[in-house]
Amino acid sequence: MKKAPLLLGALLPLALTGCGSREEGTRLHLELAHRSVRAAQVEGMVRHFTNDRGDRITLTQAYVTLGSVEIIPCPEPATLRWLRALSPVGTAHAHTESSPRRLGTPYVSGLERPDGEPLPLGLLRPPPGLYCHAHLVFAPADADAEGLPEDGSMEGRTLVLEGTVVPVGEEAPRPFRLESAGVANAQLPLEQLSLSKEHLESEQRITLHYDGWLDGTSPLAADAATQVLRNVASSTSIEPSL
Amino acid sequence: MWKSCLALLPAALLLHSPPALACATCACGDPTLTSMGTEQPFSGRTRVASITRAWGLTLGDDSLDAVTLRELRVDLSVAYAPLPWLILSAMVPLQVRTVQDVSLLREEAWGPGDMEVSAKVFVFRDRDFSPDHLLAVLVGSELPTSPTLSDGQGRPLSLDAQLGSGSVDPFAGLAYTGFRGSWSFIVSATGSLSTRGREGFRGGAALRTTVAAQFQPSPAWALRLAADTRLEGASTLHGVRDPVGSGFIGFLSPEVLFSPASDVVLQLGVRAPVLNLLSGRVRQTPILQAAVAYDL
Repeated sequence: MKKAPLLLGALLPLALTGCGSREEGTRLHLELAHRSVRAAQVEGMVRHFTNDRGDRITLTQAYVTLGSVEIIPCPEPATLRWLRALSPVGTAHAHTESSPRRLGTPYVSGLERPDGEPLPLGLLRPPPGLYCHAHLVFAPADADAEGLPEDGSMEGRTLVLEGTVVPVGEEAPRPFRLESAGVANAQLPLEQLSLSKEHLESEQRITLHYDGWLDGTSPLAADAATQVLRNVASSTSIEPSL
Repeated sequence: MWKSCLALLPAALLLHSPPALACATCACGDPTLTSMGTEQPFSGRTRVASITRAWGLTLGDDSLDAVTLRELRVDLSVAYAPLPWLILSAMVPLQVRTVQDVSLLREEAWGPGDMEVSAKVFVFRDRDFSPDHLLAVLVGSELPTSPTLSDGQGRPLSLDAQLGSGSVDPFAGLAYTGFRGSWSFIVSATGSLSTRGREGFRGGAALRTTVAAQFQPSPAWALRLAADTRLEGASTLHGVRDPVGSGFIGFLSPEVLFSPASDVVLQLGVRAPVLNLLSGRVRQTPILQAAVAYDL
C-alpha cells in the first residue's frame, strides 16, 4: 500500500503529457508541366512554333486554368457490382469541391517556366485501388486560384493567349489575343495507377502541349477561342513521373 | 506499454484513497444506488469515480472519403459537497484515440482531454432528510486543458485526432431526481456553448437531455434504462460553417448498477444509438460504459 503514492507519482506525469503518432496512407502527387510535341523555339516565356496548318505562331503570353483533377477508379468486375447491388447498405457518391480523389483548387499555368519543368499541383489521398482515368476540367479561375498573374488578367478566365501569327502563304505577322471563360473536359487514361498498402505513393505528371493549341484553326478566326480551348483539353496528357 | 499504464491509473487512484469513514447511503437516508453525477447531496460528501467508455464513429462514404474514429476514454472525477445544497465536481478525461481515413492515413493520440468543472446547486428538495424530490441547477465549463498533440516529426495531428477542442465551453442545465420506493427517476437537460478553440474550430451549440428510470430490487443491485439525446448545431472552422455531424441523435441506454461493498457502486451499460438524424453520413457505434464510484 505504501507503494501506491510512488506508483501514482510515476504514472501521472506519463498520463498528463500526451503523445501522438501518424502513419502515412496513400499519396498521389500531381504535377503540371508544359512542352511541345513538335519543334519549338523557346526565348524566355516566348514560344515560336508552327501549327498543323503551317501557320507560324509566336506566343508572347499564354495562360491556362486547370480547374480540377479527379482520378476515376477502374470499373468493378460485374460480379462485385452485383454483390454491391444486393447489399442493403446504400452507397452515395458525393461530388464535392475537393475530395480524396479530386483536387478542386484551380491552378493557372503560364509559359514563364521552362518547358518540362514540373510544378507541384497538389496531393491526393485517395482510397486504395486501381485507377484507370483522370478527369480534368479546364474552367475559369476564381480569385483564390493558385498561380494567378499579378495583373489580374486571368481572374474569371480559362484561357488567355497573346502573340502573332504568320498565316501560311503570307509574310507579315498579324497580332492576336484570345480569351475564353468557357469550360472544357478531358478524360485521360492512366497507366497502371494502383495504390495499396504495399504501394502507398505515386506521382503523375499532367503535360500541356502548347504547340497543339492552335491546330486546325486560325487565331484570327471569330470562334478561335472556343476551338483553342477544345485543343487545350484534347492535347493534354498524363503519365507517371516516378 | 502506455496502454497498461493508462489502465493502471484509476486503480492507483483508488489504492491511494484513504479508508472510508462513513456510509454515504446512511448519511443521505436513501439506499438508492447512484452513478456519478446523480448522487444525493449531504454536507461533506466526497466521491471519486472512474468511468471508462469505448466508442467510435465513421464519417463519410466508405469508398470515397470515410474517416473512422475509435476512442477509449477514462474519466477520472471527484465530487465534493461543501454544503448540503451544493456539489462541486471536476473531471479529467484520459483518452486513447485512433483516427483512420479512407487513404489508410492513421493517427493515434493519447493523453489528457479537456477538463470539466461544474457546480450543482440544489434549488428544491421536498424535505431535508431522505428527500423524494430534488431539483438542481447545473453550471460549469469545459476547459482547454488538452495539449496540442503532434506526430514524431513535430507536425500537429489533425483536429479529429486531437483529444479536445482546446476551447472554453460553458454549460448550464436543470436536473430533477425523484425517488419512490424501489424506483427512482432522473430527468435532465443541459445546454452548452462553444468558444473558438484549436485551429479556429468552434463546436456548435448543443442541448443534451436524459430521461432515466431505475428499478432497485435489492440494496446490492439495480437496473436502469435511460433515453439520452443530443441536439447539436453546425460547427465552424475559421468562421466557415460545417454542418457534418450536427443534428439530432438519440440513444437507449440499459445499465446495471451493483454495489459489492459499502460506498462502492459499479456500473455497466451500453448506449445504443437508436435514432440518428445527424447531418452527413455519420455512423455512431454503441458506446460501452463501465464505471466505479466510491464514497470517501
